[in-house]
Formats: sequence, structure tokens, C-alpha cells
Amino acid sequence: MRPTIAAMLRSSSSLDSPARWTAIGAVALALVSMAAAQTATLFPGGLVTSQRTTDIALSITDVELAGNPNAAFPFFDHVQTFHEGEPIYISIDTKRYPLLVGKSTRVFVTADRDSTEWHDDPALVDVRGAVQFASWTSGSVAANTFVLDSGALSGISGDHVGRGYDVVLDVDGDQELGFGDFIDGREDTAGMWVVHDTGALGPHAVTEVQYSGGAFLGQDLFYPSDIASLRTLPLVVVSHGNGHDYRWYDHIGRHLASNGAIVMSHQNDTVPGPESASVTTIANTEYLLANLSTIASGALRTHVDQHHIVWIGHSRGGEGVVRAYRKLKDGTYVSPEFTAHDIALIVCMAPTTQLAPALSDPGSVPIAIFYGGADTDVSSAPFMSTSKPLAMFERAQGDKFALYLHGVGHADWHNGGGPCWCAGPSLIGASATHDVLRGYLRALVGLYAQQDAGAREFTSRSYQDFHPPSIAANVVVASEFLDARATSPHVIDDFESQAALQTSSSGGAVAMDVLVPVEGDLTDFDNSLVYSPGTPMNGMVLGRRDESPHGLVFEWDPAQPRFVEFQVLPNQGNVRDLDSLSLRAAQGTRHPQTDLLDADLNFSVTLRDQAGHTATVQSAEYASIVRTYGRMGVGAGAGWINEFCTLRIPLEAFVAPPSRVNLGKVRAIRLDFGASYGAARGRLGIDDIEFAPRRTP
Amino acid sequence: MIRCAPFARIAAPLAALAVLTGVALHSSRPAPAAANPSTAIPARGLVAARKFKLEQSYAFAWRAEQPRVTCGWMLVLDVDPAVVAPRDELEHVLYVGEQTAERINPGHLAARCIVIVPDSPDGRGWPATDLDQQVAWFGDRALPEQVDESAVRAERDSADAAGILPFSKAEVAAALARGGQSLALHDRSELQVEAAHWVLQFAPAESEFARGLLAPPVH
Repeated sequence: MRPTIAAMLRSSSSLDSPARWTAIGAVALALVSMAAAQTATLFPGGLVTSQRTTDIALSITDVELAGNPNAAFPFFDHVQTFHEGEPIYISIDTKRYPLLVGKSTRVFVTADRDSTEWHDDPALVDVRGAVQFASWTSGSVAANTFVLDSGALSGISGDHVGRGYDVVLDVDGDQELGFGDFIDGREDTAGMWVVHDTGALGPHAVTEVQYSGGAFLGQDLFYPSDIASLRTLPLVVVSHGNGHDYRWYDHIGRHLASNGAIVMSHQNDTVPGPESASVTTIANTEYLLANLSTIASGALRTHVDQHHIVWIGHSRGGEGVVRAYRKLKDGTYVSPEFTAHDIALIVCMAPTTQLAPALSDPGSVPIAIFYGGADTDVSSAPFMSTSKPLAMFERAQGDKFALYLHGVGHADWHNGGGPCWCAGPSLIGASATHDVLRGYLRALVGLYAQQDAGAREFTSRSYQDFHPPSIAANVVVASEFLDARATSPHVIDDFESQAALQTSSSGGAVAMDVLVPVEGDLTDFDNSLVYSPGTPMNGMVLGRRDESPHGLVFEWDPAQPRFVEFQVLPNQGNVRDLDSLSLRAAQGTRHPQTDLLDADLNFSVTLRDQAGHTATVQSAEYASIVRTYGRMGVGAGAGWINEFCTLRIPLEAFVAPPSRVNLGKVRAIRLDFGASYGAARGRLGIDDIEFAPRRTP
Repeated sequence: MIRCAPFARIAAPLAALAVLTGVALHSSRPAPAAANPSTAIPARGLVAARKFKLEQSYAFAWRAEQPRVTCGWMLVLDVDPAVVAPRDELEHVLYVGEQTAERINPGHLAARCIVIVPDSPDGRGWPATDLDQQVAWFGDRALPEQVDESAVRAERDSADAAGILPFSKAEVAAALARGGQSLALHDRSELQVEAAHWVLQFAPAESEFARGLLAPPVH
């Protein structure tokens, strides 16, 4: 007698049983066909998840579960990273997964496993030691949102930034990951990360040694005191700025060494200029690598990860590390100890731009720029071509991240005291600046030198949305992030080609009724930060005189709403497998609309698909377009340079119920301005409209 | 080996001799017009001076041509602290004679700079040029690593136009007496150590900086 499907299911408790899989396959195909039919009706664009209707693996549904509730549409944001001590929620859209309606499923938080580990051991063990059930309804997102953890989950995992967890809805109740279950994190990255305070000292005691290898080879070394029991550690090299001292970066050295890195700050030949500084950055890195047997009595020997070197530079040292990388990359200099490929990350603190752009071009290496709005040395004053730190962001082609801090001066990045080289309101001082620096450097080193996936959202989410908790609440930050060009974002308009207002760089049509739009160089060299109609790019300081990044500026007033709409051509309109809609925006300093608004700015962002379905999200739910720092000087009025902020909206937000937008056929991105959509008035510069990719560790 | 151009405005026979010895500095740019005389700021005085020579040369990063240095002068100059207050934007470049001068210490706390001034060697490897009649001044804000021969000439013209006076014989004699015996050293590292000790001696307000230069050797 031919066995029934039920009998086949009961024949073995192992997922590896062929009979069991045959039965599972038959049932799965039937149910999936039904689900697919419903899905196609309700969500013509398909699901955002990795579900494939013909794949047996659909017996397990991979879906984003963890996140934070949101008071405004889309009412829940699925994110991957949470601070230790913060509550964590789960939510699922039961309109997309109607099979859950009416069910009460047990919720498991498990240790992170990859797909192979789940296959080998599907047993569900809740790390919370708790039993939790979630009852799913056909109601709203809010009705299907539950507290997963009130803040008890640990973010400690050795020298990692945090601890990874997977989240499972055990639909069939068998306490194993299997048919019908939902999981966040089955693949090779955790479903969620709980991270500890990256601004806090790490678990290792730190040993410091100062020594010299000769002229401009003075080094201040920090490493974990228990290094003998550790594996290879990333090497962080700090190159100081002009007038600074290599012993003034102990706040970086101790912090990163306590968290499992080797940090060497060196005497830097900066007075001749950044080219000389680049020579000493390379020479000092080489010297350390070549003398591991003798430095610190050989303590570092076999413990330096020579393929994950981080270069951090301050001021001329900041330009110097970029120049050093460029020389290695171009082959201008060939080191016997390492190559450009071994440089995992470059960090520039208030870098100068004293060399020609081609000489200080970071290329595709990941780069982070820290810069203060109160800087009176490398000030970004519009008349100074050599003082444009944010030009490094524009030049970079790799992952790039920038933090612009209000109230931070040039000297606040080091720990040597003395004049702050700062001017402006609300100065925060060196100590608060170091809190920002330590928290982010730890995350950046973790992400790029230690492949710590839990650190990614420190850069990809806006500062307002997610930042190290040890930073004081009064610190105002404009944050930017763009994925490396090599990750193939769908660039809709970067304004670097097609100079006409009506055409985007991707060739699509651009429609707008915003006031006085101007597309052009994001550079202001009229010696003043005062706005006039004749200086539409007032406050734009993104390049030297010999480089010209482009963007769009415009304004609106309370008289009527305004818009800008970018056509998305069909060859770019399938964004199902991408992560978010990203754009950069900056308020226009000292512009009448900016001054009258006198606040952070927000607006609406709408996606429209081929069928005309739309979904609209408020920018303020994901990022603040900050009010320009109120520093005076360089003309009348208050307001320093324009501060670009990245607005990054998860595409998932555009398909939250009741949206019917088909992410497979997006045809337009529309930005709406006015009281009905956000700020009633404003002056804005925008750039880099694109769909950003999903990133894996 | 490219040698340093003489930094003194020497008499014609000596100039001819310098040419014959193969001075090889060159500039790819036409000589610019003289810099604005008002930007030339004199050093306030010569405090100490000492000759040095090296067994192992090094590249002088304070000139675009990056000449190899085998000898020169170590000087202590009194300076206006406001002029030397360190910053990362462009700073005034220090010149002595017809050469850029390497500032060892910042100088703004002590109002004194210990400087290295390369020179061409005489027959025994010591600096060929006397300090008498040499001029020390701060020129336009620039990056020393981008200053070439033509820029130095323009700055010298500016200093002359500004009426900056050279060191007097008495000043030089006193400085040499304070500076002590000439230094025969192995390399730039040893020169740096000597310069650091001079910071401790002549610019004690910047002792902390000097201690950074005097970190113990690894080997």
C-alpha cells in the first residue's frame, strides 16, 4: 500500500530522511502554490525576502523579524543591530504571510548559526532561558509587534563588537528549525546583533611602549597585555598632524588595544607637507612590520595581521595617509612589507587638501572622515582650496563614511591639550569629541579589519537613528554613508553627467517645480558664506578649485508645495534584491529659507511603480537633515558650511501594508516639499540618488 | 649625488667655483616675480650655531628637489612665536641664505627654533659656507616640500627688498661659541638626537616635544 503523506512524515524524525523529504516536498509545493497565488494577488511586486516558490528550502521561510516599532508609517523598521540594554522587538506583516494568522507560535532567540550549522543541528535552544509565544492576527503592524527582549541580551562576544543571534518562529512547535518555521538569520550572517558600547574600554589590559627606530621613527605602541594568548590582531597606525605629537593619541591607542588591536602612533614629518607625511606613514608601518622580533621584546611577533592594516591620520597626517595609500595603489612606491591591498581602512580626521586631487585620491579603499564645524585651522572657508576635508568623501569610490560634528575644533581630535583651534557656539571640547571618536573607531576597525558584521549599521544607519550610546545627547552630528561603487548600486542621479536639469545622470527624465533649481559644481569660492541669488552654491565646500563634484540645489516656500521627481528607467527599476533608497541632502547655509526654518529639515519620499501604485515615507523617520552649525564669520550672518546627511530608507518600508508598490517595477522617485510633506520652507542641496545594495559580511 | 646649492651670496670666484663643482638644482617653472616684500619676516636673532657632517646622507624633504644632505649647519634662532605657531594650513617657510631651513621644534612656546640648514661640503666634508652675512627670514605661507630653486630666489629677493639684515660677525662669533664643537655624525638619526638635546638646552619650554624625539632606541 502506498504510504500516505502523513505516514511518510511520521516515518523519521530526521530532516535527512528521503521519505520525509518527499512528503515535505509534496506538501510544500501545494501550500506554496496557494501562498504564491495569494502573494501575487496581494503583493504584485513579490516578497522582499529570499523566498523562491519552487525551492524546497521554502519549507523554512527566511524573513526579517527583529527591529524597532515606529510611530509613523511604516510603523516598524527591521534592523539588524541593537545596543545592549535596549529593548528589541519582532514584527511580521501577516498580510504577506497569511498562514500565520490565528496561530500562536513559540519565539526562539538562538545563538547565531549559519546555514550549514542549522542543517546539522536544527534544535531550537532559547538563549534567554525563557518561553515566549506570539499570537498573530490579521490586524495592524502594531498588533503584530511583540517585545523580544527588554534589554537583557548580552552584547559581549570576545573581541567582537557584539554578539549575533538568530530569531525563529517555531510554527510547527517541534522545537526544531524545519518545515513551516520562520527564521531571521539562517544564512551566513546573524539575524540580529546586540552590540556593547563601542565607546567603552574593552576587556584587555593595555601595554604601552615608546621607542625610536631613528629619525622620524619615534613610535608609541599600544597592545593587549595578554597578546601572547591571542590570535593575529589588526594593526592600526596613527599619523599625527602638523604641530601635533605622536604621543597625543593615547585615547585612540588605549581604546582600540583594549578591544583587541595593535595601535602604533608615530612621529610624522608633517611640516614639509602631506607628501612628506605620507613617506613617514609608510616608513613607520614598514619599520614596525620589519622589526616585530625586537619591538616590545618581540611581544608582537606572530600576532600582527599584516593584511588588515588601518591607517588613521589627523590633518596633514590625514591627507598623508591617503597619499600614502595612493602611492602604494599606483605603484609609485612599492613596499617590501605590505601592499595597498593590506590597507583595510583609512580614517581621516580633519584632513587637509593641499595636494592635487589625483595625488590624494582614496580610490576604492574604505574611508571614514571625521570633521568638526568649529575648526579654525582646516576650516573649509570658501576661499581656501587647501582646506576642504569633505573633498576626500567626494573623491572616494569605496565605502565612505563621514561624521561632521558641531562644536568641534581642529585640535579636539588629539589628546595633547593646548589651543583647540576652534570657534563657534556650543563647543563640546576634546573629551566629548573623543567619545565620538572612540565609539566609531571601534566599530570601523571591527567592520573593516575584523569582518565584524555587527558593526555595519554604525555607518549605514544615520547618526540620529543609531550611534554609540556613550556619546552625549547634546552632540549634533551630520552623518553620511555611501556604499562602494563596486557593490553596484542603482545610481539614478549623481549629477556627474547630463548637466541639464531635465535629465538625470542615468538618462531618465527629471521633473520639478521647486524654486530656482541649479545643477552644478558643489563648490563655493566667492570668499563669503553669505547667500545671494548669484551664488546658488553658497556653502558648498566639497572640492578644491581643481575638482568639481556636482549636485542640485533648490528651495521652496510656504506658498505652495513643491516637488522633484526622478524617472527610474526600466533597466534600473527592479530593486527587489536591493536594500534601500539612498540620497544625500544638505540645508543651504545662511539662505533666507534656512534661516526662517531654523530647524532640521524633512520632506516626503515616494516610490511609484509601473502600475501607478505609490508609497510615501517621511525622511525624518530615518535621518535628520540638520540645521547648519551656527558659526559666524566669513561674511554676515550665522551658519557655517553646508552639511550633507545621508537619508537611507529601507525599501521594505515602501511595501509595508497597505502599500501595493511592486519593487520589481519601480518607475519613479518623488521628493515632495512643503507643509503637507514636512518642512514648510527650506533650501536644499541634494546628490547621489540611488538604490543601495544589500551587504553581506 | 645632487648637492645643496650654496646658501650664501658668495663672491664671484666662489660662485664660479660652485658652478664648477656641479650644483645640479633645477626648476621646471620659470622664475616667478619677487614675492611681496611685506611678507618677509626676519628671524629675531642667531643664538647658537654648529657645523655638522654625516657619513650617511639623507633626502632633504624641505625642498621640492629633495637634495641629499651630507653636511650643514644646526642653528638656534630667536623667532616671533606668532609666526611659528603651528597649524595644518599653510605656514610661513623659514629660509636661511638661499636655502629652506628645517625647523626641528615648533618654536611657538619657546620663541626659539632649532633648525637644520643643509650646505655644500668643502674638501673635508664640512659646510663650505660661512654664516657671516647670512640672512634668516620667514617667507610666504607655503609647503616647504613644494619650494624649489626659483621660489627660493623669489623669496630671497623679497627679503632683500624688505631690508632684512644679515647676521653680524659678532652675532655669528657668539653663536659659534655657544654652539660648541662641530659634529661628525653617522646619519640623520644622530643629527635628530643632537637637535633634540639643543631643544632641551636652548628652548626648554618645549622640552616635552624634545623628549618625544629622544624615545629610547629599539636596538
